[in-house]
Amino acid sequence: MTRTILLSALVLAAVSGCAPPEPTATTGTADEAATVLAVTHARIYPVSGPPIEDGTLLVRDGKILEVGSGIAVPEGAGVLDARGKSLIPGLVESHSHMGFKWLNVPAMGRNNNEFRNPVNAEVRAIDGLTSHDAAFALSLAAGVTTMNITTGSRVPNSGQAVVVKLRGGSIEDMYFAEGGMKFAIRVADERPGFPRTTEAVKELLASELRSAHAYLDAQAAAASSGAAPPPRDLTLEAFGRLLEKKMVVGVHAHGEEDMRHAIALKKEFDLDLYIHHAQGTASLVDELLEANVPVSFGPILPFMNEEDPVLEGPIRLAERGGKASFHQDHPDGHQYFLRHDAALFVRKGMPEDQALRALTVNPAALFHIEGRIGTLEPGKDADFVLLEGPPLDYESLVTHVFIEGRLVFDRARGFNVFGERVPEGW
Amino acid sequence: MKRVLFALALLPAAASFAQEQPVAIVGATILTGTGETVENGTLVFRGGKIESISAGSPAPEGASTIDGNGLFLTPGLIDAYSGFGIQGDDWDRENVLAPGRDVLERFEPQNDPLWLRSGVTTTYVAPGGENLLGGYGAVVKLTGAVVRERAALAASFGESVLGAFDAFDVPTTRQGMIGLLRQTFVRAREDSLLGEGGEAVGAVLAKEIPLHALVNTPDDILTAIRFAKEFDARLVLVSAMGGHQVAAHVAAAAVPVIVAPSIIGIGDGGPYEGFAHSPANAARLRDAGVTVALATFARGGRSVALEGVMAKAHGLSMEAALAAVTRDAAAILGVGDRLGTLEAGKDADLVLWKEQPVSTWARTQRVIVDGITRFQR
Repeated sequence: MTRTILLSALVLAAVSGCAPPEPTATTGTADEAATVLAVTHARIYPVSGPPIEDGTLLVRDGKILEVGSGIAVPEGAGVLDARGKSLIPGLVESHSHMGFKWLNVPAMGRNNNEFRNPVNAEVRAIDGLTSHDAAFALSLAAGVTTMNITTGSRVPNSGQAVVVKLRGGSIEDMYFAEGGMKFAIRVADERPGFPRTTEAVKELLASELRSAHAYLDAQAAAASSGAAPPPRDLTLEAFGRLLEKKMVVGVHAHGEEDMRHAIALKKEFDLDLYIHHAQGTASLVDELLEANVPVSFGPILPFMNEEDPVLEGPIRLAERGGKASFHQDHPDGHQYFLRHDAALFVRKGMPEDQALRALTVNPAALFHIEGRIGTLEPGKDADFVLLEGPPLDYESLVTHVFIEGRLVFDRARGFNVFGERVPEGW
Repeated sequence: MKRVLFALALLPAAASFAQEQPVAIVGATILTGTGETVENGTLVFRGGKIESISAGSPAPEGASTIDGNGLFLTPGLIDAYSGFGIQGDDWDRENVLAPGRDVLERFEPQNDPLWLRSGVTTTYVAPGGENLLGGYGAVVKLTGAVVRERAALAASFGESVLGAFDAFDVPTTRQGMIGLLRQTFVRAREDSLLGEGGEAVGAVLAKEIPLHALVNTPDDILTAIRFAKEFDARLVLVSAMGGHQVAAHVAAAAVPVIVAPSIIGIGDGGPYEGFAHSPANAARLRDAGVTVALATFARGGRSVALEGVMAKAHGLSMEAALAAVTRDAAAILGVGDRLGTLEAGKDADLVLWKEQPVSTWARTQRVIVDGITRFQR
């Protein structure tokens, strides 16, 4: 199933990758197909290195061909003159529920938490999503190109997330990668059979992981002896993939105590694990570094004040080499403000380059897709954003967004690839 | 009186009482909030009030001095609609009509200095939006001091009311809400609505206080304007997410707007009536000639300073954005005689900024309320 979706997504990418840029900006000869797009004279923030003044970005077949200054524009290329603008990689939102809860249609949603069991590892987000949510179009106006859409946090384990690119079309068209397993160290509902303390939540998850271990052992034993394998159990199978590090775990944990439980799970089962929300980061920097646990911090605006000392957690973690990402947790935090969040950290002392990493390559790395997206380097997907000015300044609005070389948002022309009605002024 | 005493105990201050000796801030770029900028300005205050503003003057004899070199000086910012200091419910769960309630009954501000550090010194504390008539709101300083109690009567006739009550005797439609509101106002006018509720509606009918109507859709906005005309009441539109779609009507009715924050949470799906929400709302209204104020509508989280930056990013000029969090907010809240601009005789609510105010990077250096430094970086 997954493989088929992936293939169809790749086909779509190949077809759409060489769509021409906006006609008004094209200066290539009319009879020659503009197979190369050149964005010129931009201040380019490749994120993999320092900003490039008067930079050129060349795109072909949906991939970045070259990036730098003094690069010759090939004959016949479509040219987008980005003088005065900033160019950054498309932003990566690591924690969203978009498409589960429809923006402006509250009665239709509320289904990101599967409450049937405390553990629902076999449940996949992609099976419950719609792309007909006005919030996707707003996300493009925010410069977000890739998004991890995760199941909810009101059950200890609500299922598997999915990473999509905001290419438009159906959720299948948007599929990009697996988003990993969702754990939630919290107690929200007094349901029969559900754990009542965070300690009990952690123990429940640990016990499922132990069962998955036994399940994998039984499968291996059956394979070597030629005996019939144990009956397939999709929950244990999914947990087994965690033990084999074939799937990442994102743990919802807010405060220090919850985060300690998450770190303990990582250590006990040697998981590929990161922590969502992570408001206790400031007091756990040593532990997070020692256990090599990245954090995705948020939602930030509108809930956090720009003077809030909690913002110092990711700054302390990043300055010591730890990996921090930011997220908005739509629909809790409004997706538009992901970029604005980063400015709050810069105000409090985070270097601009680290704040940009927390919006791009760091969240990409959580899902091991940083080889495809997150920085502007030759061979990577041509997912990029043009802004009116410095990328983290509130007053710099996003003017263009490209995904895999294709224009998906153009502020001046009022275009976005989702074709949904976007509220005025975004 | 109890509230004032409480306010004094609220925040530790460098000095407990406003200085009787003059204090001069010297050398700052002063943005007075009246549209004027005074370079190398000197502002003198004493006893909690501003005494003078001038360019290039030395500190007066006997004044202590605050060096304003390289800094910007603005009036303290005003968050025109918030739930600051409210403990517990901010609405009446028993009565859909609760005009006699007073938000100060539930006002117990804690020492939470984050908004103050952001440059906010004053806010309008609003009753929640779940009651058709929600009672009085009040203008308070972030120190807890009350500037103006019973400053407005809160009304609301949108989804927030429709979804709030389980009872059978409450309206279930927009037309039903307006019908009940009209009946209430008619009874108040003929003096048959007794008690504190009658007093509150009476104060609106006598134009002593404005009616703050929390509405969002363009149609509800027009309904609010129609209703206020019917009773010759002073109206302030609150939230008004769809205001930009009917900006010309709002301007023609000369109704000011306390604009919904740009930086919102969407919540559990969000209100359907928020479909028209736009960060350009303030700019579109202002361009049409409407007086606008900005606000957070929150009990905490990001400050109204960031709302000013967002409104500027989406079309307000620097002057208009500053006015929307100072002068115009004060005027809409009926406290323009004391707050909102830097002028002799007004309260010494002052913010010194390290960076250009109303910008992404603006951080406060010092925040002064009633002549007392409450925060210093």
